[in-house]
Amino acid sequence: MDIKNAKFSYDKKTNVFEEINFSVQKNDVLCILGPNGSGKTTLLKCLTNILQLTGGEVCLHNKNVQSLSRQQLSKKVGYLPQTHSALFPFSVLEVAVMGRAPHLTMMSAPTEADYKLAQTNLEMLGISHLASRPYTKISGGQRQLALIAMVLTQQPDILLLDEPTSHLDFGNQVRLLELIQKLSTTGLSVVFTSHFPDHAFQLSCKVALMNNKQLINVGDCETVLTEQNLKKIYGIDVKVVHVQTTDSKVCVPIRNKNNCAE
Amino acid sequence: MGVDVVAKQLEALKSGNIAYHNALLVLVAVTLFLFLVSLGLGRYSIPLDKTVKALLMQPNIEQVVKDVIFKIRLPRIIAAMLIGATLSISGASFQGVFKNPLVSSYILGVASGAGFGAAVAIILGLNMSMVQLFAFLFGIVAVAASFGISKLYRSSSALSLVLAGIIVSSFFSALVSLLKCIADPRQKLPEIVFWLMGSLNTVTAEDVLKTAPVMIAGIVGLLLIRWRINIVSMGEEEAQALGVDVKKIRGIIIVLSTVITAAAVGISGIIGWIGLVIPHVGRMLVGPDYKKLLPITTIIGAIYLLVVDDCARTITTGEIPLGILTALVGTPFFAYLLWKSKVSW
Repeated sequence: MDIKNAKFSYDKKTNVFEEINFSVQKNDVLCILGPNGSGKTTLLKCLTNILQLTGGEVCLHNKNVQSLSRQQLSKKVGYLPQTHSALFPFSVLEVAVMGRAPHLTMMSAPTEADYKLAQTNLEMLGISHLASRPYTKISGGQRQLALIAMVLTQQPDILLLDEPTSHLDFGNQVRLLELIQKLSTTGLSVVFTSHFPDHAFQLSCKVALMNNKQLINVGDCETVLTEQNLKKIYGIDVKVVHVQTTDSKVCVPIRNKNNCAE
Repeated sequence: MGVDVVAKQLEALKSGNIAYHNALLVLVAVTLFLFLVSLGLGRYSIPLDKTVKALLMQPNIEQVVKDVIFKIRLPRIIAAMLIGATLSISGASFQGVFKNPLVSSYILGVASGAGFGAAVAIILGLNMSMVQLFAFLFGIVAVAASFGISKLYRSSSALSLVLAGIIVSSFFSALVSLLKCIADPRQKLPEIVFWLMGSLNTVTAEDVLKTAPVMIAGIVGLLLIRWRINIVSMGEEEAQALGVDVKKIRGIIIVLSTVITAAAVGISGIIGWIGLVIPHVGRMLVGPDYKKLLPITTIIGAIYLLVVDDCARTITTGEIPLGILTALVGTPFFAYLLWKSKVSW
């Protein structure tokens, strides 16, 4: 997937973002970081053609996504929205199996094989015990996992996950990151947004920093996630620390103690 | 171990499917039974065995029995079942498309439009089949108007359509009131009022033959695409991400539902509450999955209006308008449903 000179505006006056260029290769994991309202979600929606770019193009295997039909595109690209609730109390399995929609014709319904695939994905995410529970009556984190099972059931080449770790507990966050890593080794590409630079360090993946309508930096987390860059996008002092026992890096905010004084 | 869990869940899924198929079978059997019983019900009552014999065209049946069954009761009973099925399936489909459990088949103004069309035809002194045609056409005009108005909002959201539907409904209701005011109070006014309350009193075999193909085709169409309604009900962007062309499928569902509802209302007048309540009864039985819900809802709707119409024509010597009965039965039942299913909407 290649993104060239992408530009988007809701009201045709101010651009949400402009001059966005990057590409996603097979097996890539790309973490998009940026402050609230920097356009991460909008960008993901443009990648899956839910919103249409006002300039530039998104190409999938050298074809503009706007030239593909919804069905063609959704066989290749799976998208997980940030927050979601359903009106009707579908069971978790019924939700997961909805991921088969791109592979079914308009007049058909999922078969047993489809349900089996959905069930296997629920199992992989550790929520198969919820399969028959109503989607509307489970917790936000469990809903998130159910939706992830749904996009996996879609069997796309590229996964676009909008803050997949929000609502998840500490353990599930780590497990999900491990799953992303695992998926990327099976040939999938994963693009996800996050508010935690640490997630990028854990995956040691590629990082794209969004700020002021632009991608200010794209590259390996080691080179992109510097203390200066983090200060630049989040406006706080951050220390990037190397933890020897785990041989990994973490970000620690530096609290200005003077601010707390009376 | 993991495989075990998957196998167990799939087993549960299968038993769920068996429960669904059993429910379907039972309902079809009940429908068939009620159909036969209803043919015998009325001022001239006919025992069940005789009804069956008459239906099987056996020779030694009196002409009067044949006449009552084939000329009077059969068209009305078929109409009741078809209209009940139509209003229920379109109501359930609309609830999914508009992501709103409180909408019914009439949300886009088809009933008010049809009411206006019928009132115009009655005031003009046209015959019964013209009244039906006017009702059918104005029902469709009203929905088209709702569509047009929602386009003005430059938003394709389901909510703007619902709002436009409310606007159009109110507009046509006002026009109907106006027509009632100027209608001749001795002849035309009662006719309009009774039409608006819904009845199958005047249904003829010809009416049924004209409208049944439309209703059946629409019902089959909706049943064919029913699983997709699940996905549309998850939200516009979510459905798009799943490869569903939301505008297209919403358009198809609205067109099918509107045409069959207009056809139904055309011959029966306005019968409320079925399109709202019956889908919820279906959900209580088989859950929200449209794959199972829509067939079940359709059959329950057929059974319900058949029973209500049986009551309408047998309780008193006169005819009780159907709209009154469906509301009298529907409202308390709906209240009970909300309490029973502890709906959290």
